[in-house]
Amino acid sequence: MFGQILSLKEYLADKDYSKLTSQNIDEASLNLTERLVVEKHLASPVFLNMIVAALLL
Amino acid sequence: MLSEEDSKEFFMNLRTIDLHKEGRNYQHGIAKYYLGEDIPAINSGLNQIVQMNQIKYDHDIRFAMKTYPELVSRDMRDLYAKILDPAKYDLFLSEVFFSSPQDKNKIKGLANFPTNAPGTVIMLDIDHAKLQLKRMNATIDKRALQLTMAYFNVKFRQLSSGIYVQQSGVEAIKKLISANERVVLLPVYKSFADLPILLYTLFMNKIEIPFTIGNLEDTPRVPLFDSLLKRLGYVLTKRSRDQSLQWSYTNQAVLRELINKYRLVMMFQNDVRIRSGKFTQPTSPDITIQWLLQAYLSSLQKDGKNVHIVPITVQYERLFELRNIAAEMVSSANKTTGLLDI
Repeated sequence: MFGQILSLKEYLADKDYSKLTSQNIDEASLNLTERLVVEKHLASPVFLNMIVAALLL
Repeated sequence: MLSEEDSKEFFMNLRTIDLHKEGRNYQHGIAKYYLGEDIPAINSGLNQIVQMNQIKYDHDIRFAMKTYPELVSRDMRDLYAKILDPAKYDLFLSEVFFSSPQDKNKIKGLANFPTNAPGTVIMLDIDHAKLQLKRMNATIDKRALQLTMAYFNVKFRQLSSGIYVQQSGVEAIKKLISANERVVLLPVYKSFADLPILLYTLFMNKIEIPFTIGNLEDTPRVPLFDSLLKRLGYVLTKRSRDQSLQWSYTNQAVLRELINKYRLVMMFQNDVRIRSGKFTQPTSPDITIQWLLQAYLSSLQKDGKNVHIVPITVQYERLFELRNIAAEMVSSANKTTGLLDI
């Protein structure tokens, strides 16, 4: 379900970034961005009226 | 058991109650004394066949004043000393950029980076940083927020058929806050309406109003709006990719100190509005995610502290200005939408 709260510490440990350093921070940032974008994409169906609303706003 | 004589004096027999009549009395009492409606008495013999909007003239002001009276004002200037601390800047450089010699090459690619001779210390330009902070400065002004909430209480009622919030998420946020955890609300930036909707949602649920890491480049530059946004805790952060190292430091330092001090921060994840709601595969990390991880690396990780990320999305399933559009379709009248009609 969308909206599940993500514990950053657990997420990093789960992705083998338990010790975040300057070496892996860029990769970890991209992975976390991808993770959040995918989740938000799945939770955001595009409706026709959303497109119209987007034009208005 | 009461005697027949006592039962006449002390009425106890519920079987004799006319539930239909009492139900109407109850409904009338609620409408008149709770909702403040101007309605005739039940036994007046008048039957209302047309009803107009009977919200009282001061309904929205009362809503704003009474919904969340515990709201407190805040000022970002309280954090300046820690943001401008050269030791923290050094720590940021050593942890995020210079933990190995080859990482020094990273810094050369950053625009506006002052030329430093090998071995010199890269100093934080305090005067420039103060100017940056002046530009970013925001407060949470209780009165401004209440007036804004009153205004949007009217507008959301007029412009939308309803706002629905996933209540499990609200409860989870409240639980984390009560446990004194650090929480970052991470909405997707889709529309200018996002901020008022999110603030309104927090306000309605009596969740402390957080500072919002906003977007300098994709926010209309209207002095009146600027002034209001700054009073609603909207921090105008520069998100362009060609920002200097110091800009980057200041942005993440503001985020770091806000998380450390207030524990709840809202931060729009993406840089520019994706108004259609269409997402594309990212090829580079969102700059806000970079700031968050930089803040985590340079401060929170060392102290064993955690941050909870709450992904948020606002869906515009129903059309704003639906009534105006319907009116135009019927009467062909094209009503101009002015600033006050937004």
